[in-house]
Amino acid sequence: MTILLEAKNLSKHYRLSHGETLRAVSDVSLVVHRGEALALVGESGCGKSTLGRTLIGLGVPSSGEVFFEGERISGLSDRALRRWRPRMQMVFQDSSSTFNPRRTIGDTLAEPMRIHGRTGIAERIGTLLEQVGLSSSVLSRYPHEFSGGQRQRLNIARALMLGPDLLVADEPTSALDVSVQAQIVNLLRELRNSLGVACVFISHDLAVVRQMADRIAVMYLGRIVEEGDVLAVLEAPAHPYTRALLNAVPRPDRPLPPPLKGDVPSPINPPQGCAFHTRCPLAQPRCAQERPELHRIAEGRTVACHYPLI
Amino acid sequence: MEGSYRRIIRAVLTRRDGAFAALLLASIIFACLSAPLYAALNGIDPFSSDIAGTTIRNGQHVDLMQPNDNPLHLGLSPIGPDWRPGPYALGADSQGRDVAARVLYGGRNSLLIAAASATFCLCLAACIGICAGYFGGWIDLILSRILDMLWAIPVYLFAISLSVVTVGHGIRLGPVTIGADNLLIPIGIIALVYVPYAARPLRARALSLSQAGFVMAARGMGASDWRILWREILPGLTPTMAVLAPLVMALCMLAESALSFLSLGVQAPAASWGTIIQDGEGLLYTRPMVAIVPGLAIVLTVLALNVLGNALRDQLDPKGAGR
Repeated sequence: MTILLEAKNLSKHYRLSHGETLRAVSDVSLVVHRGEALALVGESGCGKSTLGRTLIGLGVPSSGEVFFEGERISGLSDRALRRWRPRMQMVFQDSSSTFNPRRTIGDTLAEPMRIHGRTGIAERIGTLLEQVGLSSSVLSRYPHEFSGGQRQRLNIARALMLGPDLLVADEPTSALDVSVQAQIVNLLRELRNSLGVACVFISHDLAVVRQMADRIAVMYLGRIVEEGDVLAVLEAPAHPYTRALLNAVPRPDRPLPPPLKGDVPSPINPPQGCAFHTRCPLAQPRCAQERPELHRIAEGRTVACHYPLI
Repeated sequence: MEGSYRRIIRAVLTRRDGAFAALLLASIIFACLSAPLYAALNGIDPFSSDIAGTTIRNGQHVDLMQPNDNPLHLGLSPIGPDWRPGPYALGADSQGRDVAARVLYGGRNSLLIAAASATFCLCLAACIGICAGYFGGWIDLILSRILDMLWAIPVYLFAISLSVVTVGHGIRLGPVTIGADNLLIPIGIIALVYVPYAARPLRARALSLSQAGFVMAARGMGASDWRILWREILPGLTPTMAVLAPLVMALCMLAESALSFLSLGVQAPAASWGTIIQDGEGLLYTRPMVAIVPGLAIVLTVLALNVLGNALRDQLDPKGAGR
C-alpha cells in the first residue's frame, strides 16, 4: 500500500499566559496509507483532536513535519496550503456549530465547490445527498431544522464535496444517540468502501473503532503508546493503558474490573519517565526514570512500554 | 431562520414599546419630510430674515416684530405662537423667520446627519471590530489600543476640537476640497467620535464568531481570510449592528445638536434643531417656545430611537430580556 499521509515527530505545544507550555501532542510519528482507516483512540484531553487537526493543516505544528503524498505540507503558508485542502477534509464532532446558522444547507454545501472554482455544483450536491441518504429537499432549509444525525450526514456530505483522498473524522458519532451512531458508522463504512477514501477516525468508543478501522493508534497524554492492526490490538493489548481502556468497556460476561486509579496528569506538567507510570498497575521503578520509546514487538505492531503485556 | 428579519421586525412592532417608538419616529420623519409642503402652503421662506415683515392674525395684519411688554415698550420681540395651523403657528425667531418651518427643515438636517453619521460610524466600527476580533494578535492589540485612546477623550471635547479645526475652514486633501458649510464635515466628525462605542461590541461578537466551528470548517475547505470575513463573520454581525444602529443614531443626534448649538455643526442659514435652540437662547425669557420646541423634538426622537434599540435588543437576545 502506498503512503498517503505521513507525520514525522509531530508536536503541538501551546504557550500559556503564565509562561507554561501545554504539550497537547508530543513527538508523534504515524502513517496513513491510501484507502486505509486509522483510528486515533484515547481519553478526552489526550491530544487526539489536536493531532487530527494538525495533520491536515488546521493548526501549525510546533515541530515536526507532515507529508502528503511525499510532499511536505507542514509549514506552508495559508495560501500555499489551499491547493491541498480539497485532498483532505475534516468531519467535525459537533455538527450543530459547524454549519453557519444563517446560510441554507444548499449554500453551505456549494461553498467548497465555489471556493475552488469547480463547476457542476448542483449535480455534485445531488450525488452526495443521495450517497448520504438525504433528499434534495434539504437544500433550502437551515441547519437548525435538522436532527443531529441528519446534520452529521450533511457534515459528511460537505467534507466529501471536493472528492478528498483523506477524511479526518473527529468523534463524528459522540454527539449522537446510540441508534443514530450506528447509522453514521455504517454510512462512513459504506462511503469508505465505495469511494476508497482514507480515513483518520478519532474516537474514544472502542466498539465503533472495531467496526470502522483497519489500524489503531492509542494515545496517552499527547503521545502514541501503542499502534497496530485493530483486531490484534483489541484482542491482545500490549500496553497496560490499552488494556485499561478495553477493561473500561462493560461486557455482559464479566464483572467490570477496577478502573484506573487517579486522574490523567496535566499535559502542562507531564510526569517524568513513562507518562503512564503514575496510574499504571504494573509500574516498575524504571518506568519513573526512563521514557519508553515506541518499538516493534511484532509485524506492524509497536508499543511504548518497558514491560509490554505480550 | 428563514425570514427571520421579517419575524423580528414584526415582533418588535407588536411590543407596546416598540410600536410606540416606531410610530413616534415615523411621524417625526414624516413631518420633517413634509417641511417644503408647510413652507409652500403658507408662502414663507424660512431661510431669509424678514424683520420688517407682517403676517395675518385674527384677520388683521400684524408686524412680525412686536414691541416688548415692558412699561416703556423698549426693544422688539418676535411674534409669539398662536398654536393654530397657518403661517407662524409657533411664532417667529429674532430674524422674523417662521419657527415651525425652521424646526421642520432643521429636523431634516438633524435626522440626515444623525442617520448618515450613524451609518458611517457603524461601517467604520464594523471594519475595525471585524479585523481586531478575527485576526487577533498584534492587529487586535493595535486597533484596540487606538480605540481605547479615542474613547479616553471625552466625546464632546473630541468632537468640539475636531470641529474647531475644520468648520469654517473646510478640508483640503489634495484634489478633494470639502467646503466649510458642507454637511459632510459634521457627519464625519460625529461618526468618528462614536466609532469606539460601536466597535467594541462588534469586536467581541467577531471574536466569538471566529472561534465558531463553521469558521474552522470554512478554513478547512480552503476559504481565504477575506472570504471567511465576508461570508461567515459579517452576516453574524448583523443582529449586533441592528441593535446598535438606533442607539448610535440617538447619540449622533445629540452630538449634532451640541455641535450645532455651539455653531460648530450646521452653518447658517441652514438650520438644525441644535442651531434653532441657539437662536432661541436669547429669547428664552420672552419667547421660550423657540428653544423648547426643537429641544422637545430632540428629546422625542432620541427617546424613540433608544426605545426602539432596546426593543430590538430584547427581541434578538432573549436571555437579555428585561434588562
